[in-house]
Amino acid sequence: MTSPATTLTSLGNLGGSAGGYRLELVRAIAGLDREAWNAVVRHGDGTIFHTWEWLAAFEEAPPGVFEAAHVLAYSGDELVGVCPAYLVRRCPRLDYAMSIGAPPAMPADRPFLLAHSLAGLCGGPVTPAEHRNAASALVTGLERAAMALGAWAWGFADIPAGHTAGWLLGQGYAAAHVATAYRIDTTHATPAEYWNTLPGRRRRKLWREQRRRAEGLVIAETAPDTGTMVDLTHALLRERGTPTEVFPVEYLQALRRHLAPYERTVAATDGSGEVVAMFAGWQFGAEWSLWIAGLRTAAYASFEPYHSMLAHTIETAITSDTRVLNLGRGNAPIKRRYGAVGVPLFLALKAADRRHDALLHAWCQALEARSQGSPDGLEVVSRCC
Amino acid sequence: MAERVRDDRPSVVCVAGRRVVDVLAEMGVRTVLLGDPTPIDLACTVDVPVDVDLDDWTATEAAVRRIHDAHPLDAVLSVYDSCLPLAGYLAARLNVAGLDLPAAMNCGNKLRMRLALEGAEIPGPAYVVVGDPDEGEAAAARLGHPVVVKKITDARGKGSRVCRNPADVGEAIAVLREETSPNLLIEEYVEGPEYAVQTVTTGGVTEVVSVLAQQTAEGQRPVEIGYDFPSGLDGESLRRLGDFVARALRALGFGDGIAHAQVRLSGSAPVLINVKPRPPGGRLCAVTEAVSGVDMVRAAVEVALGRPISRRAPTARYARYRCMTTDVAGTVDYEPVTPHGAKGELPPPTVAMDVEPGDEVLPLDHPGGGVYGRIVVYTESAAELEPAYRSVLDVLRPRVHPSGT
Repeated sequence: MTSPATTLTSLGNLGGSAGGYRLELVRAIAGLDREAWNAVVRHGDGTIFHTWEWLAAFEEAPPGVFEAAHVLAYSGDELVGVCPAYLVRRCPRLDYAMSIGAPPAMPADRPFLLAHSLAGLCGGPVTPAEHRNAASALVTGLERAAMALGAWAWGFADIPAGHTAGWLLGQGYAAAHVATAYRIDTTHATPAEYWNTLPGRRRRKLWREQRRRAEGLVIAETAPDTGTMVDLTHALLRERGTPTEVFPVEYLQALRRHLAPYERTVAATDGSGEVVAMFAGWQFGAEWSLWIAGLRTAAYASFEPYHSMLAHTIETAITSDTRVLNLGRGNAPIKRRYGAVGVPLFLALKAADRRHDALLHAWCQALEARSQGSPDGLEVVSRCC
Repeated sequence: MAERVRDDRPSVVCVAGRRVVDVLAEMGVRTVLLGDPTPIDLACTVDVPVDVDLDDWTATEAAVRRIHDAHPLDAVLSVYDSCLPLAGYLAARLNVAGLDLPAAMNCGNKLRMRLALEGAEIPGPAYVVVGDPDEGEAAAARLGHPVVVKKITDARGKGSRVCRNPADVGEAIAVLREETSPNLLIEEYVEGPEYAVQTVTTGGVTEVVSVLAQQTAEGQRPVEIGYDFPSGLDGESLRRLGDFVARALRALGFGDGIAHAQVRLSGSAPVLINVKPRPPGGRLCAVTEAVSGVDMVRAAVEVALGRPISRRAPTARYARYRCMTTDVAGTVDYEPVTPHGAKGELPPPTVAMDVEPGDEVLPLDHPGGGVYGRIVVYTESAAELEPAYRSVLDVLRPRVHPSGT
């Protein structure tokens, strides 16, 4: 990461306020008050991917070349909105997306300002309900920051279908539905109540699958050591033909360290005590996000432990304080069988010039066509996580 | 030596058919027609026919840019749903007038349309995106039947089915889902009367040109089967409906262009069902011209060229438009006659059949079924509508002999 000094750069001479909110551009997360940032994320229904810790890990060992360019909104001296963002110089995920139908006239050497990463399961501005208008101020701030930083285009990565995504569409943003995150409502009183929401035949079939495929394995919420996590994650990436650079070792180590307070990982251990599969996840607020999967692929080429691990995770979520289990992208057919509901995730982009906007629209159309044609969206299983 | 005459006509590039080409010629516009390929009769009519792969936007832009460099174009226009995004793209890339690309993209995708309205806090039905029948049936159960299952893109008028029970949902998903575009939208079904609203927007300001009460088939496919003018709404309701459509078009990114919107009144609250940034199909353009004096095709060109909208005095105070459909598969028959009976300034009745006597027709709910003919009558009073319509029907005598009889 090319990380400028930890300074706050006021957007004052660019028109430092919008909608009554004072805006600031911040060039590194490290200098910011962790508690204040996370309080906004918590009250604004943000996710683990917006937290100070996730961003700190990303900036410490980035999977690419990024410059932090977070936009903050203040009401008086109170921080009331955050929009984490990075000036993307090189990103394997964005490079892959560019390789799909980007018009030749799009410049390859100019950076994008992206809020904030295709790696996360959720992006975009976060504001508490009482400062909802700060979201549009943050979007204005992002646009101004893009101009100031020389970005060719700016936008939002993996923004869930909903009010903000719709507002961006109305503002002329080019958009592509590039992935779908699968979520399960875990507010059931008991696991039995959850299982009863599934059609009986499917439920019985899933139980059979769980018993048959996980024979000899112990499934539990546990935290394997970081080396094992890295090995299992990279084994699965290689199995799927994904470059391991999307999850470099240093990045996974930094994530593990920074996000330790939130970690909720489910693992399968075989008879010899070896961890052979894991869903690495974190809970922030009431949402438990399973983000990285790992597997001893040489022994379990058909992903045998996954059914039991998924069932265990769902039941554990129901019996804890989790209200939403975010199962992430990919493997849609399996997740749907467990009753997960898909939430479309959009890449939304804009440029300063109408002619450049048109290129972004053309690119997004090509991306979406590719994404819709694949059960796993933008081949996220093979390319992302 | 012959002197070369400078061509000062405004210049428009379009992807369109005979009607648009004729209007452009009437208006003295230099016309560049794109096609894949351009039909020979139109290619002989227009100034510059261009055969190009319309799915290849880069190649199309290159072809149009060469023409633009030699003789600057003023606007880009299309009236085909599938080409509206391309027209918006070309207009933006050449930096000339035309439909706003974001509006074209938002109107051409039902999920985006719902999201953009939600983003502008315009209420609409609850919806879910689903990828397979299991997920669809669960989503429909959560929303509560009846629901509407819709293709998100590329519907071409056959992309929606109303489902009143779980079996309908499974069947609808099986019919509508495609491997290359597996995601579908499931929406709450909105009860209430439906209206077709035709608009012209210039500089972000929307004017309602006509409002017609719309009849929609009550089976699984919500096909438009009739329109009535006047709509039956009082002045205040019309004003509120117009304001709602204008707000919805703004939310969708409309700056300049014409639109055909379909709105249902659920209670008194309007809900946008669909909107197309082009002239309405079937005979609705002709009906709109008769009752409002505005030709929507001409208006589309005028908006694109930044000209004021031409208006004539309306020629009809009442109109009834009915589509011919069938409940059973069979062989269609009718008397191939041209109705007469124009009175005074009133436009004559219109009969437009899409099939010949002896052709096979399919029921409306069949995926291949649809409207096979249209009748439009115009009158000066409400009391004359039924007799006028009946007299055309009596001459035409449309009938379907069920298959196997």
